[in-house]
Amino acid sequence: MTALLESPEAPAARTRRPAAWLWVLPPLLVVLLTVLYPLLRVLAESWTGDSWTQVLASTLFRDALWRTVTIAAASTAGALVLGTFLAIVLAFVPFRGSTVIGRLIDTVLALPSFLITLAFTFLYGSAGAVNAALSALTGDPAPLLDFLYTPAGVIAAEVTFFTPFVVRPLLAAFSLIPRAHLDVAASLGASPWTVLRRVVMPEAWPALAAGGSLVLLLTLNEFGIVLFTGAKGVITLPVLIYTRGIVTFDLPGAAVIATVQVALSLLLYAGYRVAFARMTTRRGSGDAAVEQPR
Amino acid sequence: MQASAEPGGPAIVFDRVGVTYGHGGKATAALVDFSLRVAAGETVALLGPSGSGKSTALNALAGFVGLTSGAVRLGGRDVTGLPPARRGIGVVLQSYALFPHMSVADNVAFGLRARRLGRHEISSRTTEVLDMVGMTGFGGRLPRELSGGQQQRVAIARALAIRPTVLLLDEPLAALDAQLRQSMLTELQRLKDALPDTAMLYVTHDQAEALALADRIVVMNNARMMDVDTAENLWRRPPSSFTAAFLGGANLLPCTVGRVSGESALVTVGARTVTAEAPAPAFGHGDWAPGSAALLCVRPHALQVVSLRDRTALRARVNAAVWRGAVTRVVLAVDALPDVLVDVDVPGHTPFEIGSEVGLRLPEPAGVLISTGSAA
Repeated sequence: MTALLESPEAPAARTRRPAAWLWVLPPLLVVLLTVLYPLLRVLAESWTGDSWTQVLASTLFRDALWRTVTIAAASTAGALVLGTFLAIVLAFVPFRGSTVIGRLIDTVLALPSFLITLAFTFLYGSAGAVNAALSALTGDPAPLLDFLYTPAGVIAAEVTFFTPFVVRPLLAAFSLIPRAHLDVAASLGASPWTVLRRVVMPEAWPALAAGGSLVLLLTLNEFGIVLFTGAKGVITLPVLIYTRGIVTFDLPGAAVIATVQVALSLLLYAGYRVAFARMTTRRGSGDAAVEQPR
Repeated sequence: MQASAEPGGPAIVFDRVGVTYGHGGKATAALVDFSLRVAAGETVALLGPSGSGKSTALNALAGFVGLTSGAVRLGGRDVTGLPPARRGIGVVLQSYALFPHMSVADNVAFGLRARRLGRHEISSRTTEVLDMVGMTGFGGRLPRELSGGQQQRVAIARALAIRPTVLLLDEPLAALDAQLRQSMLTELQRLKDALPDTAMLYVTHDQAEALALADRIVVMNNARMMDVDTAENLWRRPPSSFTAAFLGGANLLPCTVGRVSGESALVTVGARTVTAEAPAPAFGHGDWAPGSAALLCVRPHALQVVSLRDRTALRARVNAAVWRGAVTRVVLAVDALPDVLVDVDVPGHTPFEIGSEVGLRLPEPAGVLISTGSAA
């Protein structure tokens, strides 16, 4: 009886709980059916025969894995450098038409990625505008620029396409930094470079980390850009899955590579979550101390 | 501890400064023809309502906004075209503007590191200024772990660490609650005494802060300087109706000037003749010609609500009465002064019946004359 008096709400809460759980079921079922089930099928398919030993032993796979990771890392680094530079210019260097440029960068986000490769063909391809101009200048009919169908071409296209994913969150972070912080930092004698390095970038660091992780994840899984270069020298894991599964009908082989691809993505995502959680606990819990009596 | 400004010369000079925001048809004048000299060790308050240009004046001096016309000088040095980083001014803002990712000590040391001082010097100066604002031992905390008052103390310490000859404070207490504001005001007074060579420019919309801290007050309105004088003079003999009303909410009663002798005049207020102070024109006040119209400035606490039987009193009706703790603010409609409502502060909690008839008695002398042409 005393227990009841102490917690009069408890029985009601207990009766409500099962009903609440029921609401979780429909979305859970949808996720299980549409996401987890096919993934599990892929995983099961990969265990047919000795596909794992075969695939892991092949140089083609190991080369593709290495190339995927290096291309993704290089593209991410490029996008981070270019994106940070563009965001700083757009946010802090006043010039006419900066809004238009900002919108243009946003527009890139709306385009399909392979279009960049296609556009690059017209720009840097052997018959593209840049090579035509260079030939006209030098009189040499052979194309001077020939990087489009190499990993460098893929990296260039990926940097171009994914840079907005870094610019956008950075611009959002910059806009949250109060003008007063920059003013005070300047009044204390800091040069623009010092203000950028010691005040602006530390406050924008979470945005940079978020943008970078997203780009790394997307470049790791990028398919369209690599496929459109159509080059033999640039075979990444997604292209390999496509070739195995669709072109040569080696479904178990494709499933093995797909499993590796999924593991890689999940690993990266988990790492990103851990890093983000650490960052937010370090920055969060901002309860102000009580004013000290003096 | 402070480096002294050029001997004899003013620490701060605003020379006909104008600031305009926007271009063409959308241009807004934020500061018009603003001139002011502040001596080393002097504290001047820029007092005015929102949008009066007081913060713009401060931003122009700090270099945060560009000047459209005029010049600013610090210790005799023209700094008009210099970036904020090369002006060497300490700035404290309403929002504290502490760098959230840096500890209190790193915030305070920011300006010292920018000056590339030695590690030992940075450490000793950081400790010194944190002691000065009563934040000893807080160096390792992050700004978000501090209360508003503590954050503002750190912001003041950060500004003082660079040993500026000029300290600018833009509404530094506005974000604090009333009780904390009072204690911080006392702190600022103490700090002012501890920095006898530092010129301070204190922007506020709160007359109590201006009166408590400033040696002189600049009253601002509509991007212009209205009046400048010592706090005492502006309070006792406001030169304009705007200043009279903004500083202490004085009543401005229409009156007619009678006989003037020296700095005293007989004036007629609603058929009652009383004496009033008539400051000499040298003060920037009007030339009091007998028969001319003027305004009689009377503070609410100087007036008395009396019985109608008092034959020297003006007949009035109670329009409103609000208890404010120490006083009851009574708003009266005076029969003989149809264009104004008169505020009277009656001591204590005194109940008044709205609409009841009472007498309004003017003090002797009744107040200070203000020229009718001085309105903003």
